[in-house]
Amino acid sequence: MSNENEKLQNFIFRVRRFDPGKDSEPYYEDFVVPCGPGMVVLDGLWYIKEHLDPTLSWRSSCRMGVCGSCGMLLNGKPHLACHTQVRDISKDILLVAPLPNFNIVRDLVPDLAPMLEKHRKLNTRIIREDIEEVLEPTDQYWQDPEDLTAYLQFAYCIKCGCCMAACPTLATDDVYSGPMPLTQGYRYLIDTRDGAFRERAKLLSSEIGPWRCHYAGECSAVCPKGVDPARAIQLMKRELVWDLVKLGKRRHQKPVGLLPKENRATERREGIAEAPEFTIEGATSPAE
Amino acid sequence: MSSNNTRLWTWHVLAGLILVVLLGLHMFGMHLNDLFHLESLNPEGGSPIDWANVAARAQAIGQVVFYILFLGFALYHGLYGLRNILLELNPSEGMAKFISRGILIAGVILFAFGTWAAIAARSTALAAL
Repeated sequence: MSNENEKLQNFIFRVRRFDPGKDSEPYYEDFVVPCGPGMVVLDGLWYIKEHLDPTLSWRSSCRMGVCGSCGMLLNGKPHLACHTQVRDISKDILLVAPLPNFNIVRDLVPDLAPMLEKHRKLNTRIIREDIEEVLEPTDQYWQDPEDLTAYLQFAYCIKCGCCMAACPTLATDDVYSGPMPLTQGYRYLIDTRDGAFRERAKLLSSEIGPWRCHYAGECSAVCPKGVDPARAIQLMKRELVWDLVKLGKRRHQKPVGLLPKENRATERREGIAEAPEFTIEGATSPAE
Repeated sequence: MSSNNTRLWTWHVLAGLILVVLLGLHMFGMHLNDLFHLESLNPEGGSPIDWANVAARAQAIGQVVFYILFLGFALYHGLYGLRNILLELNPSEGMAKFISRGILIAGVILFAFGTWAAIAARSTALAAL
């Protein structure tokens, strides 16, 4: 059996550095990082921080492609550092830079606040007409499986900003909302639990809407979660145009408690495990 | 900021589709005449840009309508695209307004001039009869 160290190969991590308090402009610094099979870029960055330069800065959290913190430009393409194996994208030199189309806080840390502000502006949450029900819920918001399927793919977004970094329109256009906020806008536009289609259509008809998307498709090509923002934006356009020419599906929120309670209970299908017993005293099942 | 972009974009797409039809007719009449010999468009024979054929087409009210529609849709499609390109260069709010209004005014002037030209050409052609 070969020694684990024999499998290690030295890679040069060429990292873009920038400290706004110290540097007048960004520069590149090389670090030699021994990488084994399966090692992801984030591991390499930790190696640099622990052994070579403790001042190197980046943002990361979950280490499993869920939190969306570690988006960065790897060999010229936006990726999650925790989701990208070094040997998959490089033979010897790996170029590591912060996401483009964002201001840089320091080194590999992009300022995501403008993106999240655009996301907020598009009212990316469920808005209901029945305010009393929202404040004092009497039942669940029921949704058919096909209604869920219509937006489920777009709900997998982790807001990492990779799509925003790849968008050629955003590179020059500050007003355009960009792929992430628009995808989330579409996700709520077609949610059958939502009751604000008219307000959303009006909002999306302004300059912040999807109209400046030229369908380059780069956002979908780089999305680490397979969300396909380009598709969401084209579907959003279609939805809004059909609504404009009065050929769209009339969209109203579905009422709460669509099915009578006695009709909801079904026999447990074979092979589906029972939920574990509650370990907190006094807790009750949501179904009760 | 709050212009109805859904409406503008929808017309942009519709104008593009209509242009495919109108441009197709133009191509058949003007550039593929050797293949298709559309006598109604070129009744005097020879090249489509011979004076006799140009005058014959200009006399027909259908041709005048065709030219005006072609001009209108082409202007809208092209100028909307130009406006988008300019607005993507991140102009200030005042400059964006100036661009939008400037393009609108330029479009109206060009359309009025083109319409006048198509109608005047018919009058000239009829007078030459």
